[in-house]
Order: sequence, then structure tokens, then C-alpha cells
Amino acid sequence: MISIENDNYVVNPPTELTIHTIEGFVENIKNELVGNRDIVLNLADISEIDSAGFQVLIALKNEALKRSVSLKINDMSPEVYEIITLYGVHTFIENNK
Amino acid sequence: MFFSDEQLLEAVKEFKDEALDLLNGMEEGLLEIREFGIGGDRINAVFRAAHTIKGSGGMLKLTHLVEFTHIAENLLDEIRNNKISITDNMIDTFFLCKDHMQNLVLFYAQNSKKEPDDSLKTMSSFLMETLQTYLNSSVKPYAPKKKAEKKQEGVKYWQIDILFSKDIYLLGMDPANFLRYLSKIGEIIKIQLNTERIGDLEHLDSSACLIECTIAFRSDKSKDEIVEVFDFIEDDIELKITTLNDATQEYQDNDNENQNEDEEEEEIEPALPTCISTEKPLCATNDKETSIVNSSSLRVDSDKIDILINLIGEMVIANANVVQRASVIENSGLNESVSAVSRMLEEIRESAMKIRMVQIGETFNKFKRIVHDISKQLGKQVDLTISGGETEMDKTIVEKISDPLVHIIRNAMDHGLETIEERVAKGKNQKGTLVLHAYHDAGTIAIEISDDGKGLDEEKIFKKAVERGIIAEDSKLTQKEIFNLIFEAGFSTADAITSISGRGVGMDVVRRNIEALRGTVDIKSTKDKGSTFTMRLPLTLAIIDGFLVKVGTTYFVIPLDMVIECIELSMRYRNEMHGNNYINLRNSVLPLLNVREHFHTGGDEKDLRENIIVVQYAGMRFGLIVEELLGEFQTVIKPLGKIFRQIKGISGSTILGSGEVALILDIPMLMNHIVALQAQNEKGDANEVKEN
Repeated sequence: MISIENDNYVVNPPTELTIHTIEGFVENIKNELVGNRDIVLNLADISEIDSAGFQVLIALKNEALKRSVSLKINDMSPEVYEIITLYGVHTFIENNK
Repeated sequence: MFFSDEQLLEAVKEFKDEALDLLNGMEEGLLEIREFGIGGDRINAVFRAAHTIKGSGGMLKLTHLVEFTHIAENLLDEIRNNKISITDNMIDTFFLCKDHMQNLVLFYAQNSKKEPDDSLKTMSSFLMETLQTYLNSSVKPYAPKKKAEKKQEGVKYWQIDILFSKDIYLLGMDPANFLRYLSKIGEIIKIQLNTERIGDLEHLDSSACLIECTIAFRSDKSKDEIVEVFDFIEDDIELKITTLNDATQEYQDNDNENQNEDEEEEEIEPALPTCISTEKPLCATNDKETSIVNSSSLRVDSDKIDILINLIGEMVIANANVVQRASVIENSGLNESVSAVSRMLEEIRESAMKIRMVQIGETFNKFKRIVHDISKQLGKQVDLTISGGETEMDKTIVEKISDPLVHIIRNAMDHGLETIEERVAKGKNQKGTLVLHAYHDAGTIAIEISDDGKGLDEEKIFKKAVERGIIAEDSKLTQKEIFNLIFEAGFSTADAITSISGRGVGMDVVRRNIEALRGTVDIKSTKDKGSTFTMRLPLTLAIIDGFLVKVGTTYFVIPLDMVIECIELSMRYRNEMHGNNYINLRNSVLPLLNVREHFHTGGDEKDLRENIIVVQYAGMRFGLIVEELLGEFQTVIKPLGKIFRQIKGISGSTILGSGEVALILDIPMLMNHIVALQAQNEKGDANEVKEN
């Protein structure tokens, strides 16, 4: 789910990122993302995402901002694109400055 | 999607119950409007019913239903605002709309995700066109055209501030779905999410909803309609909706605009006055008038009540066993405790049975519409009088008698009541009368359907029955027997088969359905005066108070409500009988039925004192000759097995504390048997007289 590649954290969330599945995922990233490395998020395989899953993405983004590291989205599925657009945070989440 | 498939199906099922109640209310409202006009709160009640169905349907994305209801609602809105005058034809169209909405609701309850089939869609198109014609063509006296158009087409800009409760995920709701729905009824120009509220990973509570946002929204919908989007979660949301003056205005900056907006609002939407600037969340003030159903009741799945009653039934049987064993031990303390438990159990039983009891009035009200429709179809004028609607009976029975009742009413209107011309010629009021009356009678419920029509034609019925081969030409029948011929399969006296009745299918089914409920149906009729059909049904199908008796080795239970008294069959009575089956009880003849002889029960005919139990049913009394009287007994009715179902005079069985089986006597059936015997005897006597 989380690996280190090229000194980046590469995060592969579960394909279903919903209130039913996020608890384990959140625990996992809380435990694993401990260093100040840039984060690469693979969202291409997410087939289902709800607001609870979406919140985790925002929290990750806030975490990256707090740590002054970048959060890079490596492709995203239409489902993720839809919810990010719905909440109007496309720019926020993809802006790495 | 708002919900998972399962949640959606569940929600649609709940919606179905609510919608059907609302539709019934709508129908009642329409009937009242037809009779008394749109005054009072009548038109509002009908409008609210349509409005609520549309709102709830929208939440569940029942698009077709929402689109259809929307048009009906528009017309109702115009009517309640006095912009269109309601006509009889319009009311008829609304009746059809109500029926159609009901069909759509039932369709969705079965297929929550599917689109309605073609036949439903065709009906929708037809009715929508008709409604649209009314909307387009009617005079709108109180509304300047320009203003009305403005209201229809006026697109407004809104700022919507939403703060979802943290618990909303736990309720199975997803805020995103509400935003998606919002974008369907308008355009989300801009959305600003409060990302700070979500916070960083370290402090994230993954199960709490942390969504808070401000939306700039463009729509032609009213504030109420926007609020409706969030109806489902009104207690779990803080919602503030304010108008924005201009599309070019920055949506965050609205302080200076409110004053102007108020004026604008006054003009366009008088219903939305000054609450625009209020700080109070809108949902707190959201009017609750949308429901015309009394909310003080609790909706419970009837299966759950059935389970409860079954369990109580088992408990009654188990308790009978305890009572039996305790009586053997003869310990006074134990006996006292056992009788205390028995008393409480009886109270529990009664309370549980009451849950199932519903007033028959609800079913009766349904007939107002049927009578209205049929009288229109037949060109007859009918005055329907309902009394005893508050009489309560078991819900299962109420549901099952609905169809037989409809059939009897249809027949009464079609064949019983004369046409206006015929009535005038007979010197009757041109308006026929149909009376529905319900009342309790000796542990049964009686429902009378009377009309003041032409009455049953004995001669015609007899002739028809001979033609159909139901009876032989030389049969000698009493009036009652002749009337009962109409319940025979394949019988119909209608000269012309109409769409309403007269196909000869039905009256036999009516009797069969009523008998299946352990009920009876009886006819009284006088030529040119009218007919009365009386249905008698048991109050309940599950547990009754019984009177336990023993004949030989067999136990019998008689429904206690039908028992009038018990008397000893003394030598005096025996001597008076002279081998006949009746006695003189306080100067009236009491027919008797010897249970031992009738059921050929086994066991030695000991020199036991015999007793007579006097029972009453449908206003008649007769006596049952039994041996031992064992007293009152809580009787859990168990159906008889297939093999025994054919036995006449036994309606079911029950299990005694000792584990033995007792048979429940079918008093109505035994009564019929006695009446038939008497009729035979009378005929026999008459023949003898003739021969002499």
C-alpha cells in the first residue's frame, strides 16, 4: 500500500476508498508516512470513492503542506476526478506550490 | 447514487408506505373538494401530498415520478393560488393522476433502479398532456401574465452555506450525493470547501464527516425547493441559504445586497419574505406542514407483529401446560403464582392483539372513490352513507375483505340501484342511497351494505339458476335459498354484461373469501325497497377466548363471545322434547344440536349429566348439547390439517395444557346446518299437509 521509491513515498490506496474501507488505510498512512519525503499518490485504480475517502485525500494534502513536501497525483480515475471537481478542489489538490 | 442498492431499496420501501398514505389523503381531499369546493385547507392538503411525494421521490431519484408529479403539483399550485378554477373534469384527471402516481410508486417499490415500463410511460404522457392543457388554457384572473412568467423562468442566484454533522457517515449518508443532486436542479457556479476543517493527517478522525462548504448556486428553484434537497438530513445539517443579487457579484460579498434582495423577493416570490438575512439555520424553521399523516403513530412491519402474536400464542399453550401441572401438585403458593402469570399473559395477549386492530373506516373511505367512479360511469346518482367506521378489526381481515366488499358495492350499484329514469318512474328519489355500516355483534364484526334499489328478483334468480343447471326446475327453495343462489359459481342475472359487474365471476369468490376468514354473508331483500348484504367476520384470526367443553373423549372449544348461557339438560326438558331437537326456553323455541351425534364422537356414553350451551350468532340462538363443562380457555387458533379441512362445523383446533387437541366449533356453519334442517322439516310438513 505504501512504498518508498526514488526517495518518495508512493501511496496506493485501496480501490474502494469509502467510509467502509478507509479506517485501515488511514491507520496505515499515519504509521508509515513518518519522514519528510515527497508523496506520490496513485489514484488511477480507485473505482469507488465517497466523501469520507475524499477527506483523506484532503488530509494528505494538508499533511504535505504542513511538512512542506509535495503531494503529486499520479493519474486519477474518473471517480476521483468527479468528486474532486464536485468539491471544487482540483487546483488545491494538484497545486504543489 | 445517494445510497447503496440495499439502502435504496429499503428507502424506497419506506417511501412507498408514506406515499400510499399521502395518496389516500389526496384522494380523500379530492372527494371533499368535489363535494364542498376547494375552501378550508382542502386544496392545500392535496397540494402538500403531491409536493411531499415529489420531494421524497426526488431524494430517491425516482425521476419519472418526480417529473410527473411536478406537473400535477403545478396545476394544484395554480388552483390554490386562485389562478385557475377547478372543474369536475380536472378533479377526474387528478383522480387518474393519483392512481397513476400510486402505480408508479408501487412499480418503484418493486424495481427501485429501473425506469417505468412503456405502459406507465404512455399513461404519464397522456396525463401530463391533459394537465398541461389545463395549465395552458385556463383563465388566470389574479395573475398578471408577466409576473407569472417571471416566476416560472426567473433564475436566481443563491449562496448556500452547508455544515454537515460529524455523524452523517454513520447514518449512511454521503454529502457528495446532496451536492450532486443540487447540481441537477441548478448550476453550482462555485464551491468553496473549508479544507482547514478537515485538518492534517495526524488529527484526522476517519469516521467523522468534516465537510463544510459554501456554494454559489444558480437555479430557477425557490428557496423551499433548495431546502428540500436536504430534507433527509435536516437534523444533521446546518444550512443557510441567501440570495445573491447578480451573477457577476462575488458570492461571498452579500451584506449590502440583502435589502435590495428583499424587495426583489417580495415581487417574485411572496412566500419568501425576510428570512433571507436570518442567521438561524433554515432547516430549523423549515415548515413541517408537508405531511398530512398523523405522526403520532409508529410504523411497524406487520411481520414483526405476527411473530410477536405467534410467540404469545405459543406462550399461552405453554402456560396452559403449567396451569395443568400446577393443579396436580396442589400447592397453594404455586397456584397463586401460576394464576398471576396467567392473568398477566392474558393482558399481554389482549394488548398484542390490539396492535393488529385497525379501524375499518380507512377501508370504507376507499369506497367513496369507487362509488364516485362507478356512479359516473353508470350515469346514476348515488349518495354513500358510512357509519361505524371507527369499528376495529384485525388488519389481516380488513385487508382480505376489501375485495369482496368492492364486489358487493359494485353489484349493488350496477344491478341494485335503478337508473335515474327508473327511479323517477317509481316515485323514488332520483338519487340512490348506498349505506355502509359496521358494528360489533357477539364477538364478530358485521358489515352491512344496503341499497334502496330494486331488490333481488326471486323469480329471475330462480329461472336463471335453472337455465344454468345450478338447480332442478322442480326444486322447492325458500327465499333465503334462492337469494343464496347468486353466490353459486357461474351465476349472473345481468341482462347486459357491463365492465363493472355481470360476468358471473365474483359473487362465488366473494362468498369463498369470506368463508375462508371464518365469516358468513347473508342477504335480505325486498322487491323495489332494496337489498342488504351482511358480512359477519370474526374479530381476530389468531387467539380467542374460548369455552372448553368435553363430549365423550373429545374436547371442543366454543368462542366465548358467542356463548349466552349454560343450562342443564334436566329431565323436565327431556320429557318436553318428545324426541324433537328443540326445547322451550323461557317461552321461546331453542333449536338444539347434539354434538355427540353430530360429530359421532367416541367414548362411552356414561350416565353423565348433559348440558346445553346457548350460543348466539347473527341474531339467532341455538343450543349445543354437550357433556362436561370445563370453563373459559384462552384459545390459540391452529388451522386444521388438509385432510380435516372438509369437516363442516369445525373451524380449527387448539392445543390444551395436557397436550391434547381440542376442536374449535364453527358456530356460523352449525347455525346454517340447523337452519337448513328446519327448512327441510318445514317442507316435509307442508308436503304431508298437501298429501293429506
